[in-house]
Amino acid sequence: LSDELRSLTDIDRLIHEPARLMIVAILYTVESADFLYIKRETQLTKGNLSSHLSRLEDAGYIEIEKTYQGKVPLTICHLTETGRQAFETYRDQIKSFVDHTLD
Amino acid sequence: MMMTMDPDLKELQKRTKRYWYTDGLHEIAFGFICVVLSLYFLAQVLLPLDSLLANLLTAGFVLLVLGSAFLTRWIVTAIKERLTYPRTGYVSYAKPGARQNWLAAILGLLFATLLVAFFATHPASLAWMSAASGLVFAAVWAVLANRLGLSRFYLLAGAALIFGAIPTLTGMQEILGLATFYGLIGPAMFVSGGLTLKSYLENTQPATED
Repeated sequence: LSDELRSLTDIDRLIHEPARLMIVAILYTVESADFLYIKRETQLTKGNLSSHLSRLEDAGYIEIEKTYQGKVPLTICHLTETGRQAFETYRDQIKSFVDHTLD
Repeated sequence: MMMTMDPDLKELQKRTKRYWYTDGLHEIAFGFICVVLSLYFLAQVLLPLDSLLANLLTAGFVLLVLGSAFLTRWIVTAIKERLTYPRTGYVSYAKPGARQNWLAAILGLLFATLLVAFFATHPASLAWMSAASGLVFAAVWAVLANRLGLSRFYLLAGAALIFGAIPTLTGMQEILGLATFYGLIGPAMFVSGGLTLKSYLENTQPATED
């Protein structure tokens, strides 16, 4: 196996999953975003999104804050430093793999 | 999967970055500041130099600009809380760090000093003040349009170039030229923001999380 292929075996599977990758990619560009925004952008169902957010929260990649805006419940998510570093590492690994192995 | 997702992810991130501009409120607010500036410059032309109001306006210029900026930012945030966030969600952006703020302040001061020095040593170039303003506006919008993928900002950049050139090419007195430039670009932003807001409201509905 080449180094590039071998590096793929170390890839962070938690972020690699497409739905979670979209969530992390959104949160990487902002300070925070709420459940409604992420749901609209990812087109995930409420249940699916909740499940993915919980997995990311359990891994310490995101923090979730439940609050209210008037009487409307608001779930605000933001990427932790661990999550930010995990996304950057993942992005670098994929980029390196694509650069070295594909035309 | 990854190879096909990558461009989508970039677009997803770009869309998130330009979300602040999705409802057109920012343009409407900035248009309001430009109209205030236009009225300020117009008052400078119309009022006698030694009148109390002219002196008050000159002394309060910075307060007027900062006050308008603060007020419009407060109003935009308040409207977004009632209009935008319940429809398409809430996003907050990272504030620039102290280093970025200092860098922007130093660059701004340097640019202003160079501009004042240039106009002081070349009085004839004052006639180009509105064209220079148009150029700065156009450059900022072109950069934003390119970075965020917002094509309507290219139109605003083109409008700024044209509106800045008109007073200069027609030989208008410089302060009146600035009043004309801001008086044209402000309403142009109202139109751009207004149409964006109309389209946004037509295409979205208030939603709740549950």
